[in-house]
Formats: sequence, C-alpha cells, structure tokens
Amino acid sequence: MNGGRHPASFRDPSGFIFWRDGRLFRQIEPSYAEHWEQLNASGLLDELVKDGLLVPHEVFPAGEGISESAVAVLAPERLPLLSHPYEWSFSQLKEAALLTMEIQVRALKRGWILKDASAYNVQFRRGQALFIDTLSFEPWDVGAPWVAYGQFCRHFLAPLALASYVDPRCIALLRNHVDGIPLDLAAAMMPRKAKWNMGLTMHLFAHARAVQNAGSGAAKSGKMSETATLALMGNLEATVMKLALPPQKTTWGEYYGDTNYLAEAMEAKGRLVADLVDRVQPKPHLAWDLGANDARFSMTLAERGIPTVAWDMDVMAVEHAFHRAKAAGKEMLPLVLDLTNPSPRIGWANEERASFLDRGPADLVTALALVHHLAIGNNVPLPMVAAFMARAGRWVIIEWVPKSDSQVQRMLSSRRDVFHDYQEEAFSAAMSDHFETVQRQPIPGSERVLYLFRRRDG
Amino acid sequence: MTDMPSLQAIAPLAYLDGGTGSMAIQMVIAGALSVGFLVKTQWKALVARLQSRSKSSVQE
Repeated sequence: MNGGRHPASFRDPSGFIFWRDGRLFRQIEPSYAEHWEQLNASGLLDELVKDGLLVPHEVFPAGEGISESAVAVLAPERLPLLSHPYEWSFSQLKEAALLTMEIQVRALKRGWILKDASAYNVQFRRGQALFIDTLSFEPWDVGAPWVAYGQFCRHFLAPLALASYVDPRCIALLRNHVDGIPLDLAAAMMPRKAKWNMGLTMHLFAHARAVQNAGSGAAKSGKMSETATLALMGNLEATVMKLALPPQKTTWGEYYGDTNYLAEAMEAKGRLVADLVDRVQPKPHLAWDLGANDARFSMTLAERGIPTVAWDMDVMAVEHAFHRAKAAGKEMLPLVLDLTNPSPRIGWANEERASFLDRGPADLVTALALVHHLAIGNNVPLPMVAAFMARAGRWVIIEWVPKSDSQVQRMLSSRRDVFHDYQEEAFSAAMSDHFETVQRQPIPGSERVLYLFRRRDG
Repeated sequence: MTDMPSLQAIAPLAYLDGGTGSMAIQMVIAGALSVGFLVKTQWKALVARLQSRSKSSVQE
C-alpha cells in the first residue's frame, strides 16, 4: 500500500485517501468544494484540532492530488499504525464512541453534523482517541433525522453493549461485520436484564425491531426539531457513558502476578531488555511487542521515544494496558491480537482493512515469554515461528524459555510431550535461517535467555 | 445554539443509506426524549439565573 488510492476510501464522494511515498494524503473532490470552504470558515476544524479531538493536517495545493479533479489536498499528521475497531478493548471502543458524540455535539453547535459515524474514523495517539476523517462534516439540515444514527448504533453501541452484558470478547464480532454488528444479532445475544437499561431498550432493542419491521419500504417523511436532535444525542452519549465492564479476572490479565520470576530476576530482565533495545540501530520508528500482557516492556520501548504497539490476545490485558498508556501519555498503543489467527485483510475485495502483517514489518519486534506459548501451547514448529518473526520485524528481541522452566512444565503437565525439537540449539538454528544473532544474554536468577537478532536482509 | 451560520444554501451531501427503520425509530425516540430534555435545560437555565442573581445581590 505504498502508492495510489487507499482501498478503503471509496464510499464518500467528498474525497478520498491516497498514499504517496509512504505517507497518507486526503484529496478533496469538487462535490465537497463549497462545503470545504464553509467548514474552514466555521472555525469547527480549528476548534477540534486545538482541543486534540481531530487529527491536524497541512493543506497542499490541488496540484498535489492524484487526479485533475482535486480541489485541495490535505496531509494529516502521521500516526504510527492504523488500528481496527475489532482490535480494541472495551475502553478503547467506548472512548472512540464518546469522542464521536462529543464531535457531533460540537459540530451541531456550529450548524454542522456528522454525515457518518464509523468506528474506523477514530484512531489513537498517545493513549487518546483521535478523529481522523476531516471530511465527515456536512451542514446540519435542521429537521432531518441523523443519517448516521443506525451506523453509530452498529459500530459502537451494539459491540459495547455486548461487551458489557455478555463478554468483552464480543467486540471481535466487528471483524465479521465490517459495517458494524447487525442490531438484530446484538439484540438476540443480549440477556433479558439489559432491557432494564432504558437507553439500550430504545437504541438497541426497539431500534433492532424497527429495522427488521421496516424491510425495504420507503421511508416515511418526518421532521425532528432541533431540541429533539439534541435530546437524542445527549441520550446516546449518556447510554454509552453508563456502559461498563463487569469486574472479572482472566488468566492472562494477571500473568505477571502469577509468573515464576523472582522480583530480582524480573528487574534484571527489564534492564537487559532496555540494553538490547538501545543496541538497535538506527533507532526504531515502530516497535511491536508481541504477547505484551500488561505492556510493562512496551512501556520500556515507549519511554525511549519508540512508538510501540502492545499486541496481546487477552482483551482484559489490553484493557489494563490501555489505561496504563492513557495515564502515561506515551506513544504506546495496546491492541488485541491472537497470533495464531492474526487480523486478516477484510472488506471489499479483501483490501479495505489491512492485515496484521500488511502493517509491518516493524523496525523492532519483541517477543518476551512468548515462544513457548506458540511452540508448545499451539504446536507451531520453531522454524515456522522464526519465519513469522522474519516477516514481522527487522530486529527481534526474543526470550527463550527452556523446557525445564516451571511455566513450560506446567503447560506439559496435562499433555504428552511431543516437542522433542524444543531445544535452544534448534531454536537458534531456526532463527539463523533468517537472522544473525547480535547478542545472547542469559537472564540472571532464571534459566531463560534473551536474544537480539537482526534480519539478514535488513 | 451559538454561531449558527447560514448554511441552508448548501445542500447536504449524505452518502449513507440511513435505513428506513433507523430513521423512523430515531424520530420516535427523539420526540419522546425531547420533553425531558426541554424540562432539564429550562431547569438548568432557571437555576443558573437564580444563582447569578443571588451572587449579584451579595456583591451589592
């Protein structure tokens, strides 16, 4: 995706995104020209950018576009990685929903309205939700219903309600439903007690029935007063605000509290990881911490000014890591990812939303206390682990966990040991097919070893 | 509403299909909510007015 029009940017005729020299630009088309002029004059964009709600952009002349139809070209501020809503935790999706509503309310105050309410219009920067679709605004036609109401409920309300009342993993349903979770599906999955929530009764249950009953009939004409519109937005926002995760524990969410590391060994590991990171040259522009858990080592990278994505399969681990990132204000983005089934390309022509590997390779990948989960927990042969790492990163820091380690022994206690090749020599040989070993560093106070590898082709 | 410019001259460029059911139900919901909303906003305005009046009388 290094040149030409972005494959997800085709629905709105107002403009589109394109790539040039690895940078994203937004081209404005003639149909939006008059709106663009008015929108700039309204002061809304300046207000949103100033308050950190909307991505800042530079304006380039029309000649910088990729077709003659360009009216203007915007270059939004670069973000380290574009994430997808099905990779977010509950709080990330909730903050994206609340940001969308806040922008909607601010826009209404200036006579504008959001013409779409897609969760893909939101990204994260330094722990804060950030709106990225500068062309999502159109003049508010007072009296008309909000055209994006259904989309807001499918993209935000339905997955948040399912996460809150059923299971936080339900957010991953957005991967199957690229335009949001169908409301009848969400309503069918919700428990009876959710009907006591008046907001959900209106915006989810009644809404789902209305959508089903409407079929393909023509819309009845009707008007919504200004007060009614503001009341609807206020209630939607309050409904989202009230949704919360039930208190719960997960195995992975508490992994570090349940580790076999002694405190001194963990401290030593932290120092050694930091030393290895400092050996990576040139300084990475993007790091991926795979199996990041509560993202403590991701934070080590972020504190060194390296934009870091903390990937983990456990939604509660990502949830906790997000709160950590938000509090620290560092460029660290926790995301949900099952490495045995990473995010695929989805959407129209399988190209709209990039896969996990499409967004790499990262300059640096860290895989700490992960390899045994892949090789023993999921039966992935070590050469396949090594080949995957070579696709994911240019430099890799891996923690080797030997079979004698108590964590591995615990994994093997309930199954037959068919992992005769799970040896450090075999691991090192598999990695050497793709990488050169820069450093091998045993972790004091443990049987584990840290490796720093550099990919042979750089 | 503040700073509402005159934008009616420009036609909206909605490209989404709002969906018949979604458009209809939101009008019903918004209508029902607007009564409470109106009462709430009027009440807030009244309280604010009373507070500012009591402040100014204290200053006098």
